[in-house]
Amino acid sequence: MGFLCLRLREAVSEPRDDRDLVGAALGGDESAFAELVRRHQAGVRRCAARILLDAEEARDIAQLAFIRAWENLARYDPRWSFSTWLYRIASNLAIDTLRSRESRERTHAGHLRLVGDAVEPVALGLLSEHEVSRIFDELAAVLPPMQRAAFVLREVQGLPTAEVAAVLECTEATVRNHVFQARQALRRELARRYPEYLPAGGNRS
Amino acid sequence: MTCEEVRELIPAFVALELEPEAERLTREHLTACAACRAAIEELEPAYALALRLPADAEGDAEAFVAAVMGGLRQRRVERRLRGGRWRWLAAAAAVVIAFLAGTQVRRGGEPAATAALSPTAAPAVRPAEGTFVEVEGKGIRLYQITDPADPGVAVAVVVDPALEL
Repeated sequence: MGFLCLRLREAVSEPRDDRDLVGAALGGDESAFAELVRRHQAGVRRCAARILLDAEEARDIAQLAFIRAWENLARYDPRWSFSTWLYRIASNLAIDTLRSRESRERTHAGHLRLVGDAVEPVALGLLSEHEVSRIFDELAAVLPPMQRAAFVLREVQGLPTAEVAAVLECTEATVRNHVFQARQALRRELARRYPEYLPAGGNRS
Repeated sequence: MTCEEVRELIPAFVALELEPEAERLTREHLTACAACRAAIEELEPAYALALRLPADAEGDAEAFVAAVMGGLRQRRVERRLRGGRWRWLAAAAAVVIAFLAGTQVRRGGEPAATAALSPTAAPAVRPAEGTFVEVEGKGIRLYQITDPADPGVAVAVVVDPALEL
């Protein structure tokens, strides 16, 4: 029966779900794994980039996350969604990288604005994606690793609180705490470095 | 979702209290609608950043998939080399190379698992003809590079043909 279902499914070339692809990959089907990479790469790469704030390092970590997933596929628990499991691997790698980077550097870049960088007052909402991206990377650098990961997964990527808790292996209350603290720090940094971008009335602590 | 509906949900959205489906629809609207975004940004400036970051990762998706799959094969080759087969391969390679080029592979050092060449040897060398060795049905291509000035030095490079461009 299962076999028949599989044949029928193939015959109408219905897209296979993640668990089917994991099953095929476990049987050694590399193209099934390539399909999983194709499906999930955008989110994993985006999160890695926003947590690490370094494009090159983020690309390496995202690749390594998929390689680890392939090598540990037998340990994947299908009760979780495959993407949750992937985000967990990628987040752990990214957080470890941040921590080792911190202990390696200890010095803070300071993120000084260039003299003459003063801009005309303009709503943040009117800036280009590229400029928003640059400002986020600058401000998010002050967030500690877990806070940054929680903020990126929850607020940038938009994963539900419960899923972020599963990814970061903590409680939902902890996720909310991290997110609220991250927001507060971002507000503070925004007010300090780019007061001209703060929405009217948004200058709260 | 209309702007009015979204405006009503904004406080719960900011408080992280919306159910996942309602949150997804609200987020979708906020990403697309500048007027509603201005309303949420006034309440919580961090959304001015979070909702406006580019949705796509930089770089081509297929190139990334290819890089990951290449990485898997590279790992497999490395694992194979760490296994006992390397000794057999090194011995076979040494015989073939000695026969073809009349040079010797320096013994005792760790085999080069990747295509890293020593910087001092690099400018003067020219790749010898590749020697193809079968290992249990899986092909491994072995290149040996020598420095003409010092035939005692040889660098062996083992490559999985699937990784070659």
